[in-house]
Amino acid sequence: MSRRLTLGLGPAAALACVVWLLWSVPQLIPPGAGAAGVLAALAVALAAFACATLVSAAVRHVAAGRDSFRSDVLPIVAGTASMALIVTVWAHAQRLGAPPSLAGIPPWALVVLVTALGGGFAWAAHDMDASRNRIAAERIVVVQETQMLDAATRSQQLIMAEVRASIVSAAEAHLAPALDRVESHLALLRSAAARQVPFPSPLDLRGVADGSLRPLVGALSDQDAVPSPRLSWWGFVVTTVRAQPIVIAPLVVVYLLSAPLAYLPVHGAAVTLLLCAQGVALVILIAGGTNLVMRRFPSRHASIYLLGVIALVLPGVAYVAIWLDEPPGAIVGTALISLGITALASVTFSGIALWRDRQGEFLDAYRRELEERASESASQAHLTALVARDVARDLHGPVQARLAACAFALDVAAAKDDLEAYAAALEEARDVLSKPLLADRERVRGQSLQDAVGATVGLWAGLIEVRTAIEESAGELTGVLADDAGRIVEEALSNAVRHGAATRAVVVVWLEGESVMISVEDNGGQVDIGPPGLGSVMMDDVTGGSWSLIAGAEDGMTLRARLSPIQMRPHSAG
Amino acid sequence: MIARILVVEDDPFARTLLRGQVEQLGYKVVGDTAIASDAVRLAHEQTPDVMLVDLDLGRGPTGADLAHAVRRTQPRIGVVVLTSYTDPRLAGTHRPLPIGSRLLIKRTLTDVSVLADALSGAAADPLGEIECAAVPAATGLSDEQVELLRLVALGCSNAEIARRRYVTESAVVKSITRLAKALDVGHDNATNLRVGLTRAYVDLCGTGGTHRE
Repeated sequence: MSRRLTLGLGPAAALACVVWLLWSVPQLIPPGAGAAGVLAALAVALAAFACATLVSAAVRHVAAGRDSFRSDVLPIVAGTASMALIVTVWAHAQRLGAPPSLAGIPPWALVVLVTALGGGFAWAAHDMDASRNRIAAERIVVVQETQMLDAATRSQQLIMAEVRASIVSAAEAHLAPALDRVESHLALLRSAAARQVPFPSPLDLRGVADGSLRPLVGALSDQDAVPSPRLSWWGFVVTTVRAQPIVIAPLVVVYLLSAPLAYLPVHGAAVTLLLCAQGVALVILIAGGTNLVMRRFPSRHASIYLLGVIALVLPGVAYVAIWLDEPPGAIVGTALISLGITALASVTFSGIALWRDRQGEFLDAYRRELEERASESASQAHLTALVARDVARDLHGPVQARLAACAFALDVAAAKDDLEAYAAALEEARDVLSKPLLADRERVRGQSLQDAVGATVGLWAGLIEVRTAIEESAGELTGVLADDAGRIVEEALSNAVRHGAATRAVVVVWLEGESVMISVEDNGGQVDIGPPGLGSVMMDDVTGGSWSLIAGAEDGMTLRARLSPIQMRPHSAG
Repeated sequence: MIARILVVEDDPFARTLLRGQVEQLGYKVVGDTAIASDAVRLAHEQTPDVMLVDLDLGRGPTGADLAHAVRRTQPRIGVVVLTSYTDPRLAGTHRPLPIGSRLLIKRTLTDVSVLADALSGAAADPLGEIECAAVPAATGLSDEQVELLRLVALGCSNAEIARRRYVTESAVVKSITRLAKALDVGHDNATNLRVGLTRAYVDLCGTGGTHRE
């Protein structure tokens, strides 16, 4: 942005030139001069601007490649200084003194003032540019992080898809010849039409994360598709006036740069100090008051803002009228100039503050979204692992058993030497082999806690005698809580049987607030609780860490666990 | 005396065929079931000489758990365990089989005489020191490596494996490299090491994979 603010070419430079001519030309016309004097003043003003452009370009050329402050701010300062110098020299040559509206300001002070103002704006623009660059760099980091996350999720999906394909194809490869054999025998026997083995795809893993990360990456990569922090100059002014309180500190600086130059020649040091203190207090009071009123009446934001800026200028105008006893024309001129400078300073500095806030919000929003995606991706990774496990588990038993079954079927049928029995055995084999591989072990979903725990206890019946006491309201729960309760009881019973050689266990389930409490007490050996194993990882995952395994008073172990409705569960990310 | 056999297999078709085959071999089948609790009851009521049991009985107790439970009341019952896993450790349970158990890997059961030998051996000398009927294919691997292979095949990331095994991620990376070397799973830029390891796991498990976590 600062590059557009240079005194060189471009719309901003053209605007600066027009403002400059409007302000300087009337003041550079010698008293009583005719058209020639006007033209001369215009020529001087234009020459001053051209000189400023050249100086600015030269300094920029010298400072090229240095740090951005030197290459951004110094050219503007040098250009503005040269412009002020030329005008001041001309004014003296024409015996104009200082321009009438700034009477009392010594020529050197005028040069300092104009240079300081130019430098101040250049610095503000430079700061804005640097801040934009920093935020752009942060944006790039966010984009890269998102892309990496996406790539990790995608590669994991690819791996899992490959694994599944490999498991499935291995299974099919084993089943296909067996089925072919059965089919051909059957075809010979009954001329039955062959059936295909349906093999439905259980879940499209590649699609799991689609529609979440991918669009974000697209949006981030495509700069035009997201709300861009760039603002046009006009948009910048409008947005600032509409939405921003007046930023006070830079206005105080501008005031302190200009006011003492006017006070000092007239009043001396002590009074100047007093007047400056008054002035600073007034700026703070008026700008602060305006901000308060703007907050109170947000719908009239723009007009209050403008009124505030005008109010900031009034003390300066009053000063000119009362102390300097200037003619009315000069007072109006001072008022207009002060208004212009104050409005420009206020809009610029307020705008920069607003713009930085917006950028910050913009980045914060990105970061929040990225975190959400990361967490989503982690749960997708978890889901992917679960899917893979389910696929593998569902395939394992049926495929292996069917292979053995098929071999036996053919042997048995052949040995029977009975066409009818042979055909019946083959048909049975064909039916088993033709069943969809993954449909065999559909997990019972949606069962109640009572049923889930009951089913688990049923599995272990005979190996361990289990008594259960489940509070009615807890037993009616369904969903994840019910499934998890089943897993916990399963873990406790398998531990009791495998490690403690227990013969009896008592399972108690009750509600405590919204949490489900589970206690499994057995009469087995008091197992030394060694290093944490897979079971404890599962327990941590399910309970969020709120579980314990303690030795009983005389014998056995007691597992206690608390299941909360909303668990913060660690995901198996990756 | 004709040996009395109890058949425990969770797949109904395989169970029926096993029963037929065992009968054809001349044994008396005193019962067949898919459920561990029924097996315990049948073993108690029928007092068979040998229990022919599948290692993987689905959710709940494994064949090993069942064999131990039955041995508690019938210490001299013979045990023949069928499995599709080339190494029982891959089933995810590290519980050893009871003393004298015969382990038969389904894939190698190409001849009924192998089954006949195992049944007669178990009936004659149920507690005798025997050599496994099948040589575990993953013998060269340590228990830790078998577990690591299982976790890789489950799709766990290095971070997740590190979390579960309470080690650092870099230790996991090194262990996986050693495991790949031990299993002779090579990889280059065109192939994925984890897929290679999972294939190795699938091979070792017969066709299935991960019965239990």
